[in-house]
Amino acid sequence: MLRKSRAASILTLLLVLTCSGAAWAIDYIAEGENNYGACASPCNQNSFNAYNVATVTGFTGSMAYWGYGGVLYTESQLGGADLVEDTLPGGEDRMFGDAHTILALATHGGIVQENGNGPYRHYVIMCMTGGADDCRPNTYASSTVAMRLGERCGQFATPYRGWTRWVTLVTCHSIETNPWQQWEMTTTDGLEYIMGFQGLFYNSPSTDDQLSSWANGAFGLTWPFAASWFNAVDDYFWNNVGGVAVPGSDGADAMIRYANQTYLYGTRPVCGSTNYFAVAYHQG
Amino acid sequence: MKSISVMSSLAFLLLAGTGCSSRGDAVGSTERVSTGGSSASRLVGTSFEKDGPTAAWAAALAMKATPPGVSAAVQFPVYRLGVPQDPVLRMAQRSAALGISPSKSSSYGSALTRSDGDFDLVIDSKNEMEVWVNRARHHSGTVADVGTLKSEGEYLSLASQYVAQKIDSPAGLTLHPYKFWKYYHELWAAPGVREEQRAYEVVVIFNSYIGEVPVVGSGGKVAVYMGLGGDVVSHTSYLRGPRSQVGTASLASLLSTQEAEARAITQLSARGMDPTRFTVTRREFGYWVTGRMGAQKYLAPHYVFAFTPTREGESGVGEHVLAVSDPALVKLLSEDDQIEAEQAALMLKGAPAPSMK
Repeated sequence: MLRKSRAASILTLLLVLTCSGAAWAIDYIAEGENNYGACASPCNQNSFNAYNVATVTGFTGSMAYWGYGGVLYTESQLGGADLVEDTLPGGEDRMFGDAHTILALATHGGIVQENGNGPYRHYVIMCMTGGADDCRPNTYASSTVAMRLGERCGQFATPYRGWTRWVTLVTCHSIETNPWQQWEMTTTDGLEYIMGFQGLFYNSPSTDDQLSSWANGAFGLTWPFAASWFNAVDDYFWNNVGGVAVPGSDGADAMIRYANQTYLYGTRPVCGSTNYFAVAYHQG
Repeated sequence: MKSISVMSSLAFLLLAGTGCSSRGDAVGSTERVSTGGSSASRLVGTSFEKDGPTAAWAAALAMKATPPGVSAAVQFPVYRLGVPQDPVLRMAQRSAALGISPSKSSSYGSALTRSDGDFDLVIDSKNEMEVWVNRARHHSGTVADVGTLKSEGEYLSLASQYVAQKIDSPAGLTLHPYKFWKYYHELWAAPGVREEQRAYEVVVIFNSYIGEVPVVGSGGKVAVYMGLGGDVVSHTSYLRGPRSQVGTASLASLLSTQEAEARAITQLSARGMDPTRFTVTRREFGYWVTGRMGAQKYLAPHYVFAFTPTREGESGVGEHVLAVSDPALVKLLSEDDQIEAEQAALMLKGAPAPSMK
């Protein structure tokens, strides 16, 4: 099974830090999966998708245009461990999913009740399987494949802190009807902004530019993330419902961050203080 | 279908003579035709149609018939689209119409942008897609905008006025109220309690028709975003009108809905997906206009099918199928398939998105 090179990842990061001037502090990891059939079981049980890879490659093109670098992984290079907290056995997020400012992911995803009757959590489908490299990393409170992103303090920040500040999730159900349950564990100590979709997401040849369009608005025009996200994903024909979830220390903090977050906005100043989520979406 | 009321004086707004006809000196304007009987688009209708008319067409064509109210003798002209206006000239004209001063201009790919304080105007030179944004207000109203939600009819009236005054609509199109969305924000606290839910912005979306046939696809739309008070905070316009007729398809010559669905299933398989893992949940018919990346050359009738996965956690897929069967027209229209394939290949190579919305 092809596995990405850690050295290549580090080299890319160094190039980003060296070459991109004022943009040095922002970089990304983009991951997209089309051919689940080529993954190990049980990841291979998922249906082929014709658009996820183009979604993330288009994103990398736009980010490169605006002067930002990062790493791109597709198909069999996606591993569940990429998103699994590195303090868990087998977790490798310090090198991949939690090693960059932006995590841009295009894959299948869903909601599931933790332990069958607990809170509703989110999961995404990756490619590899086995141990912590499970193909369904999730946002459970307790899991061997739990996602914890951007942690700058707390139990998961030692020995390796996380660096992710913003995530764009082109997956089904990434911002569902109880965002607190979905994202409370993953955002506790750092992650600042989650952009995704409510319910089922429909792909078509006219939807695979959505991540690149978000990048154009957010980094080319300095639009606030929310405005850029909704402008990118509002597709009047396919009825996809974009959503945004933003943690905050209190309601006002969450709402201000929701409305004002641009790529120039400062990091969340306080660790361990996700007491509220501001959420936005449309109905109709 | 939801029905709403709107002031009758706004129900038939004619855009001609409102300042929206500045395209008179545009490249190719002399070749434009009008299927709507007006020199510019007309705005008609008093209720949001949603997918009703396009679904009605698909249902009728399953029996090679027309929907109620449409003559059985209907023809389906195939058009070449108008040539996009010179982008610099168009930016100048549209900036003037929207009150944007040329304080800061930039471009990348096929997109031109002009910024003036909080206002941004983006125009795609290859297809004239236009986005105007008040960045201080668009999706920022969750903090500042405390107001009362008006009725759908009131927002439709306000959006209709705005379209009449501000949107440049090509001849040959008719605009119909399509969808109405309300944007909400919520505040959630531990242990998963929603403490607040409040609307903060709305959008009225119009769909275009060519003659009696609506457009299907992500393009051919105008969306007017408003704060709760009705002040417009953004608009997106993607309207391209027919320039010249290149052929005609008769009702009898069109593929039936069933024939088209069989082709859509074949297309789905060709993309690598297993059709048995999906069910078709939407069947629609109309003139196909692709999304913002689109650089298509022709307007032709198509079917569109939504494939919904049968397994939880997987994505849906949309497929469009040309409804025309005449071999000469099919060959001509394959140019658009080639353009779409080239754009998809560019995206896979990591080329910057050619448009900016």
